[in-house]
Amino acid sequence: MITNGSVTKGSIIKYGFLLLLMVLLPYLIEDNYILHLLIVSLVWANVVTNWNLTLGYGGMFHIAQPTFLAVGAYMAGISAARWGLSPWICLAIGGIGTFITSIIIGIPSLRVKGIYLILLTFALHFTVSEVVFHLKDYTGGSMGLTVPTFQLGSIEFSSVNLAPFYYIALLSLMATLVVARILIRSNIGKALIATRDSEVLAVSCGINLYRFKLITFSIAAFMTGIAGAFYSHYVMVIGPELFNFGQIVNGFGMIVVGGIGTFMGPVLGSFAIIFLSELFRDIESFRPIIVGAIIILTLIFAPKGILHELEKFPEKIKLLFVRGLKGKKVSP
Amino acid sequence: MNQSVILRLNKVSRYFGSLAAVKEMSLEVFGGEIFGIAGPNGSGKTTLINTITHIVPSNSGEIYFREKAIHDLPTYSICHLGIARTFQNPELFGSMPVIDNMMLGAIYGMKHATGSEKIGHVKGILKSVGLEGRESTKAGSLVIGAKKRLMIAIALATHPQILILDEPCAGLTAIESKEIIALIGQLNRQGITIMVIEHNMKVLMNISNRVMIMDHGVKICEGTPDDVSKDPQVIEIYLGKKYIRRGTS
Amino acid sequence: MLSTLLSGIILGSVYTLAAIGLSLQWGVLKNLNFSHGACITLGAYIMWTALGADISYLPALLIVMILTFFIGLAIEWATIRPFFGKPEVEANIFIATVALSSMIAQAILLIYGGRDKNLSPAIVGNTNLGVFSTTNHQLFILLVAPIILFAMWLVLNKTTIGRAIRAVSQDPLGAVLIGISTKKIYGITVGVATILAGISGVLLGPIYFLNPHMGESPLTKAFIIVILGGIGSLKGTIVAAFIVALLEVLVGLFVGVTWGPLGLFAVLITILLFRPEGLFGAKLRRG
Repeated sequence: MITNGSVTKGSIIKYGFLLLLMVLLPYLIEDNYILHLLIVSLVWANVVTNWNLTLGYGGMFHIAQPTFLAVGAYMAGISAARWGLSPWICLAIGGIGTFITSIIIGIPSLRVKGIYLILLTFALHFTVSEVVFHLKDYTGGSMGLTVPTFQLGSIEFSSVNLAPFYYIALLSLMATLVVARILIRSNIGKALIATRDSEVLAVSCGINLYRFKLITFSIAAFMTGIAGAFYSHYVMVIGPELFNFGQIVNGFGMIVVGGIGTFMGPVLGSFAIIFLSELFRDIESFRPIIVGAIIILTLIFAPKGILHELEKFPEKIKLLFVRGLKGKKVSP
Repeated sequence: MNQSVILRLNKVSRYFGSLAAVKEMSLEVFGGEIFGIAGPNGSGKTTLINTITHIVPSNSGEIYFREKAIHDLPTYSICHLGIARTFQNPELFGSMPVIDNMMLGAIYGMKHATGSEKIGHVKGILKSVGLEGRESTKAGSLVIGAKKRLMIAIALATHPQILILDEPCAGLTAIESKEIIALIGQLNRQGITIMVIEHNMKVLMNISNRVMIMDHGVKICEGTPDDVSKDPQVIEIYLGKKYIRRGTS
Repeated sequence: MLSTLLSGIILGSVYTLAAIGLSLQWGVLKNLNFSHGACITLGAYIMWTALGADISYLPALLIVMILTFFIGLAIEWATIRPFFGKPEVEANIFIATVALSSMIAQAILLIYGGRDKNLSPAIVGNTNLGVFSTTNHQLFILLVAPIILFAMWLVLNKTTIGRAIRAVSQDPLGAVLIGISTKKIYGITVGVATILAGISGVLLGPIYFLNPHMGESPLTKAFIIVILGGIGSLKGTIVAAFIVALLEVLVGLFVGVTWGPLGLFAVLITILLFRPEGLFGAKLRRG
């Protein structure tokens, strides 16, 4: 499930073009609503890349990432709304607060069997949403929290001028991708990938799994917290819907469709899921069911991700063609 | 071979439910020797290794490595102290090339060495296990003989003082087994203490300085191959299995 | 205070049923079924539908048990079986069952609507027990839960199927060698566990309201119970269930319901820090 991820000349060109396109998009697109979808996709791409870092590469099963997004959002939102701190500082607060949260649940659970992490993240999700709901004075409870937005010189940050938000989101995603790349290519990353092959050999040659898992988990949380903080200053009103279980399933959908353990898969999966959801907006209420079914079917029939299958498509056509020509079964 | 005890077990037990896989095992391994362990299937040999390396925690008893208590230490710490092992079924980092497998062992298993020292160490091992030229082969695609040699190489990359081998010759042809035996002898001459579990009694008796026989988690007999081969209990367990000790190698 | 303790004991009985279902699946499948919580919700809603169709209580309960069994079979077929024998079993089952739980919750939302519903208990009303009064439903639970637990014990220990289940949980390879169809056993295990979940839902329904997400909180508690009791220990699960339930009601009484989840969370972290093997799990040398 882990692809080698080696950087080929072809992929540099491919992603270079993609980056250029992404930078130019706000100038090419007039429709604010599409820009909004892009921004949300960038935020979620950030979240699921971090999730994939821990889940796909690090082998840690959990549902914490969407909770971390919400924690970052609320910490930043409260700091800005209740204590008047600058949104730029709140980005850091969101990141640091989420980092600390991840350490609190990481330390007890990463030392022991993986199932405990799953359980603890379920409990975290449940607990944080209850706390948010009950601490109404700070969080606004079910009424939501209004959050002030960024200010920078004469740049307009508003719901009509989305471009500045877009660039912050893009920058944030780039940062996550760079950090993730460095981590994966480092000795820590290699150790984690080795552990997927044989945990017992990994510990036997001196790899302190617990330390590396904690490092990866908390870095991923930090980046997600910043994304969450940005999100709150972008939408300017946040509420308990951030804790919908549907977010978790959506996130899984993005990772699975893109390909667990691939590097760019989740990013592409994020855009795919968000734009497809928009396309089928009329049947919005069926979304969890559809996404859930897609997840299960993808895991069964296309475990390396739908994009991987699409990439293999030309080869498959060729094979069919050759079989047809030869008129008999050709073994691949 | 010096006479100091490098590894000592004192009444070590490991239970699975109510079943004792290892029961009050006490033994001593001397620095520089080759210590063989044999016993029927299910006698607890692998569990014994697993408790020494803390893959599985012991339920009672103490384990000392150079007088340092290791029974409460995590596996990775035990590796850093100088104990390395191989596995009965090949355990490798299958998705990575041979060289990465070994480098991981060197990077994480060798403390207090510079990067270039580690690389040099690994290159030397490549030669002695006979995997030169196959550095970039994916570990998962090797044949079983090479896989077993790679496992030993990874263990060696951690620069151990004692190397525990779990059935190194299982699944190998006679020629391949001979090569492994020769390698073990060579490593021992370089100063590494060896503990080896082996089913092939002839092989085991030939290379070991001392041997221990286990059955149902308990030590049946311990001593030189000569002593052990004459022990009536051992003969009973291996009912009629005769072997010839052909002098020291 | 006494009535609080009683409600704690009763809650504990219900949690035991849900937790044992989880523990059973874990023992046999070596994986957790995260749609277990959604099955709790399903049981409650099926009961509500049956009662609403004027079916009397016991037949309705029987319908719940039959339907949940087949739903369990379907769950195993769709989200567990396809992944055995392929790489990344645990990851796939984890994600697939989480996805399924969301699908079930959404389906319930679409069919029944999001408004809280009332589920009638078996016997309405209260009974005066001298010092305090209790709802008849609570007495009903006190009667039914042990019966079901005993029935489970009988099945697991005295029937062929039960022995087969225990065989598969101890040694899947050995079980195959003596002719047990592990696939069938996996399905039956999930089926039985889903029945237990469904019954838990039916019993919990009258205490709390029915809503599409009602199963999530009991599921989290079932997880905590399985950890606290030590995975694999039946005795531990039962004891832990009562501890968790009593903690819940006592915290609710003294500190207020608001802080219940946070308190439980703190307890969970403390357990993991100091005794991850649980109360009755095999003591681990810390490493």
